[in-house]
Amino acid sequence: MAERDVPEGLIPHRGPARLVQTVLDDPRTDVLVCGGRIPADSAFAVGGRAPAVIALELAAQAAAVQQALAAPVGAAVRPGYLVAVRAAAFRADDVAAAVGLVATVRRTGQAGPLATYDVTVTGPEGEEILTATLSTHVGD
Amino acid sequence: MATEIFDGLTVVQEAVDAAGWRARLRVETTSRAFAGHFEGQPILPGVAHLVIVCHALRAMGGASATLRALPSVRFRQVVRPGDVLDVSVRSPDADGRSRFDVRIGDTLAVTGVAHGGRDG
Repeated sequence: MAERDVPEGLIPHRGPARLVQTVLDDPRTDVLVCGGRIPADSAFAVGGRAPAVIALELAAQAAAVQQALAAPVGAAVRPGYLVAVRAAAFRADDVAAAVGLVATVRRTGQAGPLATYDVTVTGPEGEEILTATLSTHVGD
Repeated sequence: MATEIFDGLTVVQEAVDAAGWRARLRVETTSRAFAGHFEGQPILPGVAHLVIVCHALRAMGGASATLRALPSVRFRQVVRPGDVLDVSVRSPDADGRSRFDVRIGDTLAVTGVAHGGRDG
């Protein structure tokens, strides 16, 4: 699967807060697939592992990438805030830092600055780590 | 008691009893959780609250207790460097669900329901 880097300025996350790295080509038109990882220097990684809930942040950033790619060219980068999580199910307790993860996000609703996404995060062998529905709000 | 749940989160007070887990936590201005999130406008990532809930489930249920599901979570108020959080995670009900909330003073910052389980 071909992939391209997420441009540095596309979303406002930087340094150890930046989990999403690449956009992977996918034939489906209603989803965005992103590659990423939990940085080894994440505030939430201990002994090279982080709680699986941190993978929700990767999914939220993938949703922000989808939102940014859909925005008009030249639009200002605005933080997107995670405002709700529903029906999240975790198949793992923790995940290794610095190991490739894949987030698949599908926007299921949009009303002004509010958007809702169905998300899945999988591990390096394709194993499911979590599924959830996220709601985000794009701030000023 | 002075344990760290994640970098730069100081446990000021912590108690566990039959009703659940309660704690007062301080998010230090130096926490790496703020690094890059966001430049010039630091706020705590929402998932940080969920890491605290994972810790609470272990505090109530032992080291093998783990988070299995989050039926619902609402993030209502951003947390900034130096904020002090009062967190309450109730003991599981008959269906295994624990309600939780995070407050900053009188302001409700996060509410939700967690469903715990066991490793393996």
